Amino acid sequence: MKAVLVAAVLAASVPEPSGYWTGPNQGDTPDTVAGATVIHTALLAKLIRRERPVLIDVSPAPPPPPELPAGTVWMAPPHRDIPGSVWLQEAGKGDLPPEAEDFYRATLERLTHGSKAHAVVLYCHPKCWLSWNAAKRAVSFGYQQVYWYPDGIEGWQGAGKPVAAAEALQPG
Amino acid sequence: MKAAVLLSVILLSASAARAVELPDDQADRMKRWKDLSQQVFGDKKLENGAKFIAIDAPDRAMDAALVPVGVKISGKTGVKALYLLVDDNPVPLAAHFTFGPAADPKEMKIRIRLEQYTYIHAVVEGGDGKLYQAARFVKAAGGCSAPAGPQDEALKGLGQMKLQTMATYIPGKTMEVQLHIRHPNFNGMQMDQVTRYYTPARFINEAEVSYDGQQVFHFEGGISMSSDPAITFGFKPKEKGELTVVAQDSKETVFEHVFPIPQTEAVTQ
Amino acid sequence: MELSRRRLLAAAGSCLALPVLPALAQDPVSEVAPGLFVRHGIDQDANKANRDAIANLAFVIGRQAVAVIDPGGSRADGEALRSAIAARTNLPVRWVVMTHGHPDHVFGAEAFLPEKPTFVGHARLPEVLASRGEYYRQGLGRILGTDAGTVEPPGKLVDGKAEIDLGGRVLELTAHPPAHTMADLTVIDVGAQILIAGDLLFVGRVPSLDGSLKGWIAVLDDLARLPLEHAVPGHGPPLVAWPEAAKPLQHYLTALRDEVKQAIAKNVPLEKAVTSIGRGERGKWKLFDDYQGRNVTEAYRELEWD
Repeated sequence: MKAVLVAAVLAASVPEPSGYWTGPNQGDTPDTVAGATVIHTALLAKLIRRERPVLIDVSPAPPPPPELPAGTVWMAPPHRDIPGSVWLQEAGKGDLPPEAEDFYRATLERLTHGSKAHAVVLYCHPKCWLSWNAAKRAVSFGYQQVYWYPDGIEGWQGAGKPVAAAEALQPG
Repeated sequence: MKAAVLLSVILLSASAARAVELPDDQADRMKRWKDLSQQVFGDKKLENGAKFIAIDAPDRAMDAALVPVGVKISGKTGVKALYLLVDDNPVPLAAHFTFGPAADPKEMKIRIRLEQYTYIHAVVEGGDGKLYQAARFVKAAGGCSAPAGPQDEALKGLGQMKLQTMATYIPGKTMEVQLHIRHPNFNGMQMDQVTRYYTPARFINEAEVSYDGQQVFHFEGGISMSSDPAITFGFKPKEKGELTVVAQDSKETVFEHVFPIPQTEAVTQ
Repeated sequence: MELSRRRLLAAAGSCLALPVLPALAQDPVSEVAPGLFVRHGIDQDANKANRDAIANLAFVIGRQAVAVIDPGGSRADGEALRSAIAARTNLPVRWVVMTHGHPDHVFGAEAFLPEKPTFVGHARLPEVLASRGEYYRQGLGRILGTDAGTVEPPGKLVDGKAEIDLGGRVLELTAHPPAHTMADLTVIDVGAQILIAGDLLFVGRVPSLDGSLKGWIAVLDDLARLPLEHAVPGHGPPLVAWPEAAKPLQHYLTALRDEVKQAIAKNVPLEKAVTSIGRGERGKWKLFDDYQGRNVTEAYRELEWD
């Protein structure tokens, strides 16, 4: 059976959704996030040296499968990211439950010492919406120097930069 | 940091004692092992077992979802139990064997999945009740998330078993056999591309092997065991007898098979 | 920093490098038939210098459009391919066909995005890319940094047969059951009467088993019956005689199947088999020692419950 394939024209770069992205985490992301600055590895390295920004990794960690018997020892595999980062696994969600949003807000407040002008960098993986969402949300909290690093952990590591084990920050 | 490096070198099992490339984040890895061993063994002290525990594994796995690992225990009598742990796996306790009177635990082999470059730890409970540990570093990655393929295919022949004799049968001498159980051992971390959900975990979590009414071993396993679990073990047969295997998976489906020993031909149920 | 492909792909299997040839001593792109070009893969492991340009890539120029068959091993490699195409035609690249999901064939995809082509792959390619893409990217990223590129999932899936018309130039695509990988496509350039085989055909370099051994043997038997006289292998010289060039591979695969079956019947444990099986084939294949063990492991997995 033969089928003739029709040339499909791909969309131009992905437009920014008006709200937060609630679709699958992985996918083509926009080139911008309104109110924040897109930053790449070389400049990020400079920023880190110069200003000691708050670095927030919002990569998800796979949750334990629900079918595991009670009492199974589960230890999420080691997660390595940009040294000095905090790892907030929930903060990138599009539909963020109130407690998670409060925790994100409070964590930002704490790490920036209450200064909305303090530089904040959000990242996760390449082609991952979570950091886009988290950057947009940081802007909505009133932060004025929000950076979105779309190249993610792999971009950092791929540029030969070191990564370090990260500890997940959880509320409570 | 130096102490951590020294400690890991000492603990490296006898078979890994030749020059082996150690990972450069020893401190992190030692911390994780400390955490993990605390969760599994509580406050019980882990003695250095490197002198009599040899872990056999490739330095670099050929297939991270199917890594053969063997543990040789030499010169210790009355070994009660063996634990195999994969430090960097999400469910690190891969297997826990308790041995009965019909067992000869001097060599056990299993096949495991490795998610990241990791230390593998073998912990032996000796006849003296003490715990002894040894470690080996293996390079492999991605073994836990490799897709399982269509579920209905993977579940074909669920629970079928076969027994391979790895050495000549001589009554009174330890016989080494490899038990195969057909089971996909879904670990709950494999995405089904059709449904876009994770294939729910379903895996052999328990097995009881006995010979002529005497226990050979009891096995408790987790999702770090490869699909189609294969366990190589030794036991002491008499002139004629039967090896009985009763296995159960996490959905509480029970599979049973009786193998006459000696086997008259390759037996598969 | 060199990274042995075996290390990179031990979790996944792959199509792998041939032995070292002088790098870029001659133009790697040759026109093997009018309008059909092959970029010969350098026979090395992936490293910063070669940009993972280690597989054979192909492109076909029709009257209206160009099709790429395998966009390259990295974004940098893909960009080089794209330049090679632009040097020969102004026509747009409308199609990027991915013969399977191994990194040395697909990580160049990103370089073609500006042309907005349709990416084509086997119906099971998304599954393969979803499970392995991240792992490959990390590994390649360590060698090549941001030049590594990312995986592009296919927009059009082939399940059975499909056709691409480049304007007076027709390509026939066939999706195969599991063979080299779970998601293999071959392309027939109908005009040139040439089979672009992807990694279903390895010449000179040891093949890597990442799908089904029995399936691969069966698919090769089918393909060998095609009334074509030439083929482009995924690794090997840019053009080879068909089906003669497949015979050593068919021999390797059937010997592997038979020896593994025998070993299983004789209760040889896997750990021993990985070093003992296939000695007769050793002298015939480059990088044999680096990949044979894995091939034996995969064959055991498949044949133990046959």
